Amino acid sequence: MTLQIYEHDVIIVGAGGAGLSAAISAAEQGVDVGVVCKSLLGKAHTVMAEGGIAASLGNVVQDDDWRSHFLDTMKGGWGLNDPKMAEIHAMESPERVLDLERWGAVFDRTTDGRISQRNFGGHRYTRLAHVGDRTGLELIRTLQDKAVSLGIKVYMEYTITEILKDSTGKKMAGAFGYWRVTGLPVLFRAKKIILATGGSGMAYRVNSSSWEYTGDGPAMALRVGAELVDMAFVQFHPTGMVWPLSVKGTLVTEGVRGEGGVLKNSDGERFMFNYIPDAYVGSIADTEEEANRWAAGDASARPPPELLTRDVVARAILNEVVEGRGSEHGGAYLDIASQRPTEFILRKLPAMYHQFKELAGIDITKEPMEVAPTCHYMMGGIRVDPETQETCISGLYASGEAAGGLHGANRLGGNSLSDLLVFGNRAGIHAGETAQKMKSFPKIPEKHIESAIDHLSFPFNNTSSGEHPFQLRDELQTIMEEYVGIKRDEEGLNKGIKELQKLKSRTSNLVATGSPSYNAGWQTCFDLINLIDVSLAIAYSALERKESRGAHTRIDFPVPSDSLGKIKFIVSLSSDKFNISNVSIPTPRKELLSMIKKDQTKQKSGGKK
Amino acid sequence: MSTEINTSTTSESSPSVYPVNYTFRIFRGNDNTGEFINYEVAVEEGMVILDAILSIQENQDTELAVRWNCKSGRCGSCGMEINGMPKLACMTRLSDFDPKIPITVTPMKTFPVLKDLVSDVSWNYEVNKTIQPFTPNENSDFVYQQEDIERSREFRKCIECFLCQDVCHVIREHDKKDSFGGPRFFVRSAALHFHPEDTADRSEWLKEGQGGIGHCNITRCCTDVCPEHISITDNAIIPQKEYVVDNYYSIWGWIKKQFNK
Amino acid sequence: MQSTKDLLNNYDFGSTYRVDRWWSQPIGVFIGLSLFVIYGTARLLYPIFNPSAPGIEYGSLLSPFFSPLLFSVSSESHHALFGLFPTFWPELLRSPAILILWAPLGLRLTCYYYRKAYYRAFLRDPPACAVSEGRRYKYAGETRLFLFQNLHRYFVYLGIIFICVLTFDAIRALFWHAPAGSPFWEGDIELHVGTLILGLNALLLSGYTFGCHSLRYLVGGNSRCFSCVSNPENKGKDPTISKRYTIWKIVSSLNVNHSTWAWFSLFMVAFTDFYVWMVSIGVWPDIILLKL
Ligand SMILES: Cc1cc2nc3c(=O)[nH]c(=O)nc-3n(C[C@H](O)[C@H](O)[C@H](O)COP(=O)(O)OP(=O)(O)OC[C@H]3O[C@@H](n4cnc5c(N)ncnc54)[C@H](O)[C@@H]3O)c2cc1C
Ligand code: SF4
Ligand code: SF4
Ligand code: FES
Ligand code: FES
Repeated sequence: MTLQIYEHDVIIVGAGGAGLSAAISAAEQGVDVGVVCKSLLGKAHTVMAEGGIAASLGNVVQDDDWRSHFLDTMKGGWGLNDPKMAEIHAMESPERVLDLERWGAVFDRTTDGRISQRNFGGHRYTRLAHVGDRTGLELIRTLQDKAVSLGIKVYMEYTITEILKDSTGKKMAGAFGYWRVTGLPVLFRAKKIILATGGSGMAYRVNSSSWEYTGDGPAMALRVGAELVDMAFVQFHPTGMVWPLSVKGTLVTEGVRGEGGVLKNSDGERFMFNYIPDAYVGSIADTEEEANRWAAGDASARPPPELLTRDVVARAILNEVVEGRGSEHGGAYLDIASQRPTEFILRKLPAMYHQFKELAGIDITKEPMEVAPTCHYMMGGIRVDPETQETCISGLYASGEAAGGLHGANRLGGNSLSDLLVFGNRAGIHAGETAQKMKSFPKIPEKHIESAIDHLSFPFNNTSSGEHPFQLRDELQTIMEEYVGIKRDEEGLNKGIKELQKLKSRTSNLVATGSPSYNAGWQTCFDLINLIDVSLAIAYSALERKESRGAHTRIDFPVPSDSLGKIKFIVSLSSDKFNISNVSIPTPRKELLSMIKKDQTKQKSGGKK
Repeated sequence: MSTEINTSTTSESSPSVYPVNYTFRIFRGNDNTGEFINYEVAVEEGMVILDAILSIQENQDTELAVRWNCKSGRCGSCGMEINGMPKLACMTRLSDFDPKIPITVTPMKTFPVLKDLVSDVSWNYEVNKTIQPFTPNENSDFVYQQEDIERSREFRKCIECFLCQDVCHVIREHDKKDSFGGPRFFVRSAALHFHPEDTADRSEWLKEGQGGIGHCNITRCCTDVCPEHISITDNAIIPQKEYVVDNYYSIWGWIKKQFNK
Repeated sequence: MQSTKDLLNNYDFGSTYRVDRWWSQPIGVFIGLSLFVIYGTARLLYPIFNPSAPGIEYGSLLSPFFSPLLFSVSSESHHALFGLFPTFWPELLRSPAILILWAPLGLRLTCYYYRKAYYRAFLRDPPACAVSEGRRYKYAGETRLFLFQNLHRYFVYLGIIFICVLTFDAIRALFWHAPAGSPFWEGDIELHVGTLILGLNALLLSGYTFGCHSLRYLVGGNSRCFSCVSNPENKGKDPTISKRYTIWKIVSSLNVNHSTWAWFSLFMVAFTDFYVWMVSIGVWPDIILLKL
């Protein structure tokens, strides 16, 4: 096999929102940038994002500022967020959204001609800048065009399988992978590498992800010695499609609820009123009448319980189904038809209309949708420095969904797109600046390259009696669904870990046939190896976190624990063994701390805002 | 009488009891040689073409090459030709087809075939680079109304599936890749041109450059296949043809140009 | 294994994997347009060979094929603006339509909708979407031979003048039996079937012409920012106060169904002409519906 070698000052793995933001800001530092991605340019997950970008622009509600965005993020994340990251995120996201506008994005407008905003769960103010329900498309297209105009080189349909280090074993030196079209090996030599590979939704059967989401970034980083953080927290989005079977899991944007949609069970009851958690009592409407007033635009009314955070809504739907009040195909009814006029729905949610019309034959302006939780987002990810996004491996960065820390135990809707922009930008700037100062490329020991090349052909060398990659993936999804799903307990997690370890040992017997060119079976072998590593990290962290908090629900420990609320669990790998350690969460700056305290007491007193 | 309906395949006899066996006649091969192979798939209610192809990939032939990402018509990866018509595999429901007749699935043939259902669309990315990017006024305040951006918004819905490029006979039949941009990129230049803050003049690109809009004879196949229902010809191509007329063939435009020189 | 070229890139005429009746539309268009051309040519030539009964006018009715009637072939004309054809005019060209019909035909020939229709149905370029055309010549689209299509907007200006003329004709068709030498409005007001037909014809032609793509561009589509088009001060303010935006909206609403307007108005022009022809030679009577 002939090895292709490319050289760029900064290599970015991933062409989603995070990757492209990083590429643009790195290129603006005057370095040579290359972007590598598994699909074509513009097809990354970011393109599917619907609802909007959270940024306290204050265009709709003037009172909004970065402080309240910070408070909402911390509260939504059950205090487990890295306070520094949450602060940077809240402060910088408005400016990043304005950047997009300056680069040509056309957001929905307010009547006075500025960027309009919409409501989303957990955000106390109307905060999400949006483009109908195609915000991700607008975001990625704008970034893509900007990147193209800066002359950034994009390597499409390349999969990175390994990060290579220099001979000291401490510094990042390059990225190795293959070109999916031919299956031939490639080596990217770089001074800095930014991992922006997104999440790992494929670990679960019902997910809102594409084949790309196999946790490559976290798994590769783990294998070269970086740490993963908050891995127990997997967000199940409350509203995924349930029927027809072939689209089970496909996302129904939270924007539907943000624009006034309500959840009902088979008795026609708006059941979310029964599930308001203590932390939110007082800030959420407690009668249907008040919720309706809110929807009609009454500023003195509190938002409806449908707009509680995603973890809460997902568990509520699950509970309704378990208690026998589920919809026909095992979900809840999401109804906007009875709440808003047809014309409004068509204007605000055109893609949703399209999606249901064409895939399920349902007209959402007339009928309710059927929805149930779907695996959606990884709060956890690669542990990075809050300001520079560098990992503990020098020269290796991570940002976007692949990185962890910002969202804590639960992510608020809309906080991901802003995360991509803010931290993608920061990673790019820092990597660009430091690469600028480096005179030469780090050296990669020959034998590392050779063994990487060797590794590529292992599925072809196995005999046909080995493991079938798609079957193994199916088994993995069964294990994760059963033992590491929305509700977890010690016994199940232990069992799950055992099963996952068994699965991991079977990966060396994976088999592929034919030529490596565009061979889905062969490619899945490598994706699967990553997926299993990430799944293990999730399971280990979940076992360790003996409490229920945010997206992590332990049946055997149903309430949050004060002491665990002060620490984060870190996963690392040494000689193929998973190690779990913990670090305490840094206390926020004094000013922020007193803000949080004040907010909490205001809540307790039940004051309406 | 006038608007073409894509009845590429629709049959009256869609099944009522599931699962149903369908036969897929799929192109396997590369740019040089290939063959059609028949696969049988037990189809459940609500399945789309892409589901069937992925099921073949998982259970019958792991080497079958296909592109996909979102499975909900948002990313534009899964463009291919189904019974000869360019379509998104993930948005084409099998209930529209008669199970008794095999369904022919081929790659977008206008571009070189890489493998099976995957074609090499890199030419499109090269065309994109030739378009002058968004160029706002330096002291622009970015204040504008919803109505001001509705036109641009329609074009920005494009998911870059390249189905329009595939069907456009200027590329498909006449292979004008060296002097023609294709409908996707007329949509893109229209998105830029009709942005209220844009100031660039792309008429030269349109007429003399890679755009080559004169090659388009507005026969509207691009509009017929666009899964995002963008009125490509009416709203993007024709106004830009008129823009070229303004700049090159109108007496008034000519006089204005002489003054500006 | 076969060559991919044979399997996929077969460029023979009509080659496709489509299984629907893709040929039905081009054939329908072919027949429809051909019939119109044949009828139109016949009617154009008719007065040359039948100067005594040219079938151009009947009472206050004037066939739209011959309107405005500059010169007449028969001395009994009520509508001719300048009397009979001058004597130097060659006999074989003495059809009043020759003088004016080029303008509406030019409008239709260069119309963005008809271009599509005849490129597909007559030049099979392409015959239907994703159907091979069989390569016959070096394709140049509208860059060489068809460059004249860019003149379409000038035909629209003329087309609008014709709309005025035909509307005038329809109004005039309300007044009957004016004494010779006095203006038409001194006649009796009568509503004939012919009056309605002329009126409907003018209406359909207006719908067609005012939905023109070029016009849509010229009236407002050429502006990038509706709210600031006439006054930069208005930037970011409600664009519905802009007249050009309102006009653009109206033209756009007609434009959406431009092809439908095109066919209905085409049929109606031919039918109106046929009707006038028939009543003028007495095949059927022009029934009077209302007399004031
Ligand atoms: C349906 C849906 C709706 C959503 N709606 C919203 C919303 O309204 N608001 C919000 O804030 N968030 C939303 N999200 C979440 C948000 O879109 C994602 O979290 C975010 O886009 C992730 O961006 P990213 O840049 O980190 O990764 P991605 O956009 O997923 O990009 C990952 C990139 O990495 C590449 N890659 C991965 N592995 C490799 C490898 N091994 N080698 C090379 N390249 C690789 C991929 O090809 C891809 O280009 C939504 C998500 C989904 C699925
Ligand atoms: S209208 Fe023009 S661009 Fe569209 S398919 Fe036809 S020739 Fe191509
Ligand atoms: S314009 Fe339509 S058909 Fe063409 S690439 Fe975009 S979405 Fe696809
Ligand atoms: S898979 Fe994304 S459009 Fe079909
Ligand atoms: S486009 Fe048909 S008349 Fe102008």
